[in-house]
This record gives sequence, C-alpha cells and structure tokens, in this order.
Amino acid sequence: MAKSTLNFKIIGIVLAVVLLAVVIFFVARPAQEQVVEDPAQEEPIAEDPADPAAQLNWDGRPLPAIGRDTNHGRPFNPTEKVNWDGRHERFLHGVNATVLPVVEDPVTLTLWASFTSPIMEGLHESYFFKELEARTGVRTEFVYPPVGEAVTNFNMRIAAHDLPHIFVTPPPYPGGEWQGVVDEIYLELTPYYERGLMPNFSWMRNNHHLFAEEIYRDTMDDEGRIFFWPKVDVVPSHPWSGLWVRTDWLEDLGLEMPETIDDWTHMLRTMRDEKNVAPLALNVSLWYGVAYNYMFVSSFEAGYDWINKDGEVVFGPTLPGYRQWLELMNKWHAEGLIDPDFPARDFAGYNAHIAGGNIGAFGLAYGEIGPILTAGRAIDPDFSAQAVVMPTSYAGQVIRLRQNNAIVRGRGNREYFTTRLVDDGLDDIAVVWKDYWFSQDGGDLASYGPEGVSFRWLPDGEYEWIFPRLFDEEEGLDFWTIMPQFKVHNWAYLRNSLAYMMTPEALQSIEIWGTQSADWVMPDHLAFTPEEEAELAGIMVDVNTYRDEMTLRFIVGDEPLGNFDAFVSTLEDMGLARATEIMNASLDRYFARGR
Amino acid sequence: MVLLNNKSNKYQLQATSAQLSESWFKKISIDWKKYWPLYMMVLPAVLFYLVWLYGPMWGSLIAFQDFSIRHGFLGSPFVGLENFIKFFESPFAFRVVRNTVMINFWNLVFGFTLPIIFALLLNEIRNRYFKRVVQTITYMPYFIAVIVVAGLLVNFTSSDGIFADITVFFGGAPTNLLARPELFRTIFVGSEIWQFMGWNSIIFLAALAAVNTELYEAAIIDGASKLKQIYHVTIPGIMPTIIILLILQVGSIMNLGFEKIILLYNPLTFETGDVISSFVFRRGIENAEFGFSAAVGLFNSAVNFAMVIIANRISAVLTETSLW
Repeated sequence: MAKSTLNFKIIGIVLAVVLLAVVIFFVARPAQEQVVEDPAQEEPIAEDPADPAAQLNWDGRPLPAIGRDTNHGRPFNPTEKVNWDGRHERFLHGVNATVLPVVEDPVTLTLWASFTSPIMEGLHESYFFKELEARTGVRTEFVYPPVGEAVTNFNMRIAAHDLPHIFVTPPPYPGGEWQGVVDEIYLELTPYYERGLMPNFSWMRNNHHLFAEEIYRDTMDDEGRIFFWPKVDVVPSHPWSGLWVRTDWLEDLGLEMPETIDDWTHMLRTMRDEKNVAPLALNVSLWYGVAYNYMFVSSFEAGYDWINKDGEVVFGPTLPGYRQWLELMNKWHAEGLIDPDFPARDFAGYNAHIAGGNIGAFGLAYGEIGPILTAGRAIDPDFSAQAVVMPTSYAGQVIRLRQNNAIVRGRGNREYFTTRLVDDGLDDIAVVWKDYWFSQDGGDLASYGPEGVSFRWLPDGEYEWIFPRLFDEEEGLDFWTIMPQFKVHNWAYLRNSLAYMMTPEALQSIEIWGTQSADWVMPDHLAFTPEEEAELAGIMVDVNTYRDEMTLRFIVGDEPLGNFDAFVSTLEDMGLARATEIMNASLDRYFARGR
Repeated sequence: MVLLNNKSNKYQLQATSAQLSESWFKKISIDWKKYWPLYMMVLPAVLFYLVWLYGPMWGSLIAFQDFSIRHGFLGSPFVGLENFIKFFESPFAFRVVRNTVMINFWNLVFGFTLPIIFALLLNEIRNRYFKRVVQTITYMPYFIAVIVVAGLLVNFTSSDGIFADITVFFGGAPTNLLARPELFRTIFVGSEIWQFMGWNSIIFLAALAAVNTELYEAAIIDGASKLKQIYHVTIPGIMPTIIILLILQVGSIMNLGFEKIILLYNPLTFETGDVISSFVFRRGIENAEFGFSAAVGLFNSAVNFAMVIIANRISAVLTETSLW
C-alpha cells in the first residue's frame, strides 16, 4: 500500500506543476502590441479642397483617385456616372462613391429576412452575398423567422428587444413605421446622411436625371427625416397588373382588340355565344383585381379606394362614375358575361380557372402569365394572351388610373436599421455598407449578380444571363426559383426592375399598359402622425368592409342599384369626411416636401 | 359522475362540514400525513391549472389598456372601457354578435340533437359488425383538417359543383351557393354536423351502454313498445349526460373559431357569416389592435360565463341535475 500511495503522490505533484505552468503561460503572457498608424498623423495632403483626393474617407483613409481600377478593382467616381464596361447608357443610374473595402478588419452584420427556397439552405449560399463580402469586407449572418410566422416573430423580437442589426422587409410596425423610431427599435438615418456617410444615396436623391424629385420626396417623411432604406426602381416597371385578352379567341371570332366599353360588351357577348362560357374572370379585391388595377372602374373616372383627382383626395366609391361602373358590371353579370363563381375564388382557383380555358378576358399580374400560359397550353396548344389597355367610356377620354409602381417602392419593400447597431458600435460601418447597394456597382451586383458568374455584358451594350443552372433542361427550374442564388429581389437597392427572364408577353404588357397615364393614383409614401394613423385606420376598417360587401351585392344584383345614394350616405356616416380630411392634409404635406 | 350534486348527498355533506369546522388546520395536516402520495399525484395537474390557465388571466389587463408591444403590460397606458366602447360603436357590432349567436344556436339545435338520435339508432342495431362499420365511417370525418373540409365545400358549392349539378337535375339554375348569404348558416352548420356527428355520438353510446337492462325488462313486461321504451327508459337514463354536455355547449355560445368562417365567407356573405372572431381578425390585421381584440375576447368570456351559470341554475331547478 505504501508503494501505491507514493506513486499517486508523485503523479499528483507532477500534474499540479504542469497545470500551474499552463496557467502562468497563458495569463502572464505579454499582450501583443498593436501598432496603430494614425492616418491623420501622416503628412497631410493639404491641397485644393475641391480635389477629392485631398479629402479623407469617413474612417480616415485617404480617398482613391478618380477613374478606373483604382478602388480595389472597381472604378471610384463620386460625382458622375461612368461607363467602364461598354454597357448601354440606359443601364447607368448611379455613381460609385464608396471606398472599398468598407472595413479593413472583418465585421459581421445580422440580417433578419423571410426566406425559403427549395434549392438553397439559406442566403449565405448566394453568390451575391459572397461577392458582396469579398468587396466590402462585411460578413452577413442571417436569421429567418419560421415560415408563415414572420409577424409573430417580428412582434416577439420587438417586445423582447431581441433585435438583429437589420430588418429586411419586416411586417408593419404596430403603430406606424415612425413609431418604431420613437420606440428606439428602428434607427433614424438622418444624422448619418447629414454627416455624409451616404454619398451614393444622396447623389441619387439629388441628381437622378429623370426622377430626382420623386425619389427625394419618397425617401423621407414630412419632416425631412430618413429612417428606412427603400427599394428604388431606377429602371421603372410601372404597371405590373392589368387587363388581358385571349388573342387566339379573338382570331377565331374575327374580333379586334377592344378599345371602348362598347367594344368590350360586344366582344364578351360574342365569346359567350360562340364559346358557350362566361368569358370574363373578374376579381375585385385580390391583387390583380379592381382594387389594384382599376380594371373598368377607371374608364368611368372612379376608383375602388382613394384616388388623387387633380391634387385632391377623393374616395372612389363616392363618385358618380362608381355607380356607372356598378351598373356596367351588374349588366354584364346579368347577361352571364362574368364568371358566376367570381366571389368565392382565391388566387389559385382564379389562375386555374383561366388556365382551364373557359375564360376569354381577365385581370392579371404579369408575373403570373408565364405559368398560366404553360398550364393553358397543356390543355389547349393555341392558348395565347395579350395585354390590353383600359377601355374608354366616351370618345376622347384620357384614362388616368391604372396599376402603377412608384420609382421608390412601397412600404412592404423597405429595410430598417435597428438601434442594436449603435449598441454594437457598427452603425457607421453598416450605413456605408448599405449605401454601397445604391451605387452603380452595388446596384448592379444586386440586380444582376456577380459579373461573369450570373450574367455578362455583351459587345452591343446589352447583357445576357449565363448562370448555368438557368439553362439546365433536366432540372427544368424556372428563373424565379433559381434567382436567389445569384441576385436579390425585394431588398433595398438601386434596382433594374427588368433584370429578370420575362416572357415576351410580360415585357409587352408593361409597354402596352404604360401607354396610359397613372396621374390620379395615390402616392405610396404618404406619412401620418400616430394619432392620424390610428383615427384613419379606425374609420377605414369599417368603410372598407362595407364597401367590399356592397360592391359585390350591387354587381351580383342582391342590392338594387337605386340604393346607391343610400350606400354613399352610409359611407359618409361612418366618418368618411374626417378620413378624407386626414388624407388631404397628408397629401398636401407630401407635395410640400422639397429640396 | 362524481361531479353530480344530487340532493340525496346533501345531508352527508352537511355532516362532514360540521366535522371540518372544528379545526381545519389540524384536519388538513392529519389528512396530508395519511394521503400525501395522492396529493403529490394531483400536484402537477394543479400546477398546470395555476400556471397555464389562471396565470394568463392576468393578461386580460390588455383589454383595458392601449397596449403597445414595445411597452408591455406595465408601460402601456390605461384607458378603461374605451376598447369595449370602440367595439360596440362599430356599425357592424350588432350584426356580428347576432351572427355568432345564431350560428351557435343552430349548431346547438341540430348539431347537439342529431348525435343523440344517431346514438339511439345505433344502439338498436343488433348486427355488431354492421354497427362497428357504421361507427367507424361516421367518425372518420372528424379527423379531416378544417382547411380540407373548406376546400371541398368551396368546390362542391361552386356553380359547376355537385350541388349545382343536383339542382340542374331537378330543373333549377346552377348558382354559386357560397355567394348566397341566406344559405351560409345552412352550409356551415351542415358541414359541422357532417364532421362531428359521429364523434360526438360516442359519448352518448357509452352512456347508453350504462343504462340498467333490468329497467328495459321491466318496461317490456309492462307492455311498452320500442318507442315507448326509448322515451321512458333510455332517455331518462342518459339525461344526466345530455344535461352536462348541453350546459358545456351553452357555455361556448359566444365562441366560434374563425378558421372555418374565414375559409368559407366572402364579402357577399358578411351579412350572415361575419362573426365576432372573423371581425376581430380583420381588424387585427389592420393595425395590430391588441387591446381591442383582448376586449372583445373578454366580452365573449364574460357572456359565456353568465350563460353557463344561468344554464346550470335552470337545469338544477328543472331536472335536479347540474354541474355544481
């Protein structure tokens, strides 16, 4: 026994000594000295202050010289658009005022985004983000809410103050977006803008050759405060939803494209008689229905919701034109020209019904036409459709209402910075990084993907897609499924909204619908005070329900059209006058925003 | 049936309460020492109720606040009955409450009585194999998800669906049935019956099996026909079960889950189909009005509570059977 205790003793002592040595080694190791060169202490290049090279970047680094291949391989030019790869003039929209890389030592930003894809695990697999990281030095980490539970997740994060650095297209903030800034969740960007940390964004707001004024107004609120990053469609795709007609049926029946309401009535009657169907697929409140693309209601100079009639806000359903539209719809419904199941159809049912081949005319968004054409042709190989403009109700009428996208897209397409950036000391870096997305190169990267990987410029100034998976016949995936692998879609950046593989019908539809004006469409970016917002929401929720209900009842015939005046006066009893007042005040403030 | 409070037990209860009033603390500690394993077994259930059912009641406070997620319970301003007033001031409040009560009432009248009748009929079937097959088939629809049922209904009621075909066969014109507000309740209650009749009849079948066979024999000796037997023996035998379930059903007169309603209604049928839960659901998306939704929920619960107490009292007076 004595022998074994002796052994244990020795082992114990040896171990203790080793541990002690290890501890001493790691704790008492001399700290590495970091030699920090203070750039401000280098000999100042005190030259002409107008010369950009004499100024310093936001982090103290000297600015590179202007021109090509001087900014880590990207052209640096904060004052003018530069065509450095032979592209066509119409693909130049911004400047390159960001000094790359944004940071020398890598940092990580956390982004909250709703994302699911059948072919990718997450956005970190995207070539876009990889290239972005290579250029800027900023690593991006993603947190995803569970599918379908974005609103719950968002609300929980606000309540628990468990914030990412950036919210990408979050659900509406309870109480209005500005309330998010007041609650110290969202970060106000105005101070950074005024310090000059957003040169690309600033240039876009002030110098865009076509849309500067509109962009300026739409990127701030009534007091001139900037607090969100918007999706800016510098290549506009104004209308994405409108009326379509089956062109093969027109050929069969010897009809022309309808241009007036009477043409439509005649065409629908002919289709009903010859093809034995109810030819018009009507939708009222879904996103390719009357509420969004004003189909037929704009022919009577009324609208389903608020319209901006020559600077004055009016609620569409109170106008006499709305009654005329209801009469027309009622007449068509009674004659069997409208699909009798229209009130009960949802998205999928609506699309399926059109593809099924029993519809001659319909309202649709251009994004949906591709799959419908494919499905329709499987049943009827001649299936073809073309977009058609809104019909006129009298000679010489100018149509002023159609579905429209503003250049600065609406509330559902914004990104917000959170106050966590300030807590983590990353706010300056994040602002400069995000501003890069609004530069020419950043915008290109986001719209097309990395050059040479997903697309390339052609000698004639156009571009073509070269991402191999797009052309894989075996897989047979469509562009929209593969797209997240190399570009982004509904994020905040300088966007070419046509940078997609679109069916020729879709491109044609944009052109056709674009020939009519959208002057009377309400701007997307009105701002309200929290009290106004609450009051307006309280009034409109009842007004909207009543309008939805009564419109369908009038169309279907459950309510005689003689009761239209009673309908309007009930709407007014619900507080519509006060709502109109609020809307008008907001619109006036909106147009008063200026430079 | 331990829950029953039959009058015959009253004296017994009075006796024990006299004993208990002596020194309740001493009684409890003796009780605990003797039966502590039983109390231990009940403890998780009691904790469950306390934590998950009584605890969250505290959240009803939201109904009296202008609740903001950011500020939580303690930071949101107190606004008293404003949320309730907002609900009642809405032009649709009356309609919405009326629809909820009406749909629930029809559900009660048909959806409650039909399982009883079905159970009575099933009980009379002698062929055990046939009885089992019928039972299985009738309670299978219970397991189908609401959204599938709604999808089937939308399909069948469309103007080229089965119901329209039947109407055409009998010489009528095909219409979309879900666009007719007068038919909404029928369709809704009909689908509820189809889905739940089989399942709800199970408990009645169990109660029927418990009726004493000697009573049947006595009735046959007295010369009762089948119908008379059902009327005088069977129904009184399962009356306690019926009463209990009826009281519980009445206690949810103001609750109507919005899932099926939302899937079946459209603006044309708001007149009869818009219920409290769907109304609040629409309102909730507009502006995340938590205070408003909580107030409506509290109103619902208060009415349900009152209804349960009233129903219990009435049944105690009329039939000597009550929940408490």
